[in-house]
Amino acid sequence: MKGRWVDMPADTTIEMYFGFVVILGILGLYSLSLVWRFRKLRGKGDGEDHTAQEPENSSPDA
Amino acid sequence: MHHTSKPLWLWILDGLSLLLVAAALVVIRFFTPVEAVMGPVQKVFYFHVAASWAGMLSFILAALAGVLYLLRRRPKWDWVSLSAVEIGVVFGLITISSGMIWARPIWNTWWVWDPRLTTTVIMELIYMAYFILRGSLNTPESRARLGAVFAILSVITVPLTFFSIRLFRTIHPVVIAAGGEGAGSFSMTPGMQRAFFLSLAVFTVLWVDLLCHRFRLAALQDDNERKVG
Repeated sequence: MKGRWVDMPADTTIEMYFGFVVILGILGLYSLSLVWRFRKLRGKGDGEDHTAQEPENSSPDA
Repeated sequence: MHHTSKPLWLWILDGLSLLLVAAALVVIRFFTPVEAVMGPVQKVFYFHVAASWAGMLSFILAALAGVLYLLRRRPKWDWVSLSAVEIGVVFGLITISSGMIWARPIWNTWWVWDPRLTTTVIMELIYMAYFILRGSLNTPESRARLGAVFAILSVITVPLTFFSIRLFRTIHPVVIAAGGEGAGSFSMTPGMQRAFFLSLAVFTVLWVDLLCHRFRLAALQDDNERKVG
């Protein structure tokens, strides 16, 4: 009885997934914020308006 | 200097970081043993410690860049310092939140004012204040100068946080301990050690990647300010 109790790890699978979702979520959101801020600044710096309809020849590079 | 086009090496670094994070997740989930008492939630530990490592590395780099800025007065050292602080705060947030999620089933509470947890929060709050300081200053030069001084002074919180579990009584596990384990520790099997060192390596690559991106952003920000000013 005692051995069985000691050998059984706690069932914390949901908590594990929750932990990884939070870690990856924060990393993902921060990465997106970097991309978003960079594009916004580049738009300002180049005098281009990224929100307006680009007529032609718009560069696809991110 | 033209900062807008993303160089090829940075694309490669992005891809490598993504690939490594995915590989580390697979190794941790499927090829790392489950801890005997805590169960699967202990696996959060690998990214928790790696994030803490990346955060502390950031704050040390911020202080070094601060020193270099004060010595040479080159804006690029301010960009490094600023980037490192921001990334350090993000990794600090990851450390704190993943630690809370790990603590909930193990300590039966989300939070306890343990020395390690308390010093980590103090460190995080101090570095958050860095942005308040910068935001309150008008010129790029004063932001850079005072930011550098702040980053140098604040780095004292890094060793304080690192050694808090060795200096004070704590329930936080001591993983990297010379000659034994501290209170609340668990011993790592070779499989666990592999996941641990892999996570440290992966987060170091990710840290470099994020730092490069944030540095480019800071450089572009500076370019724009100079154009406007």
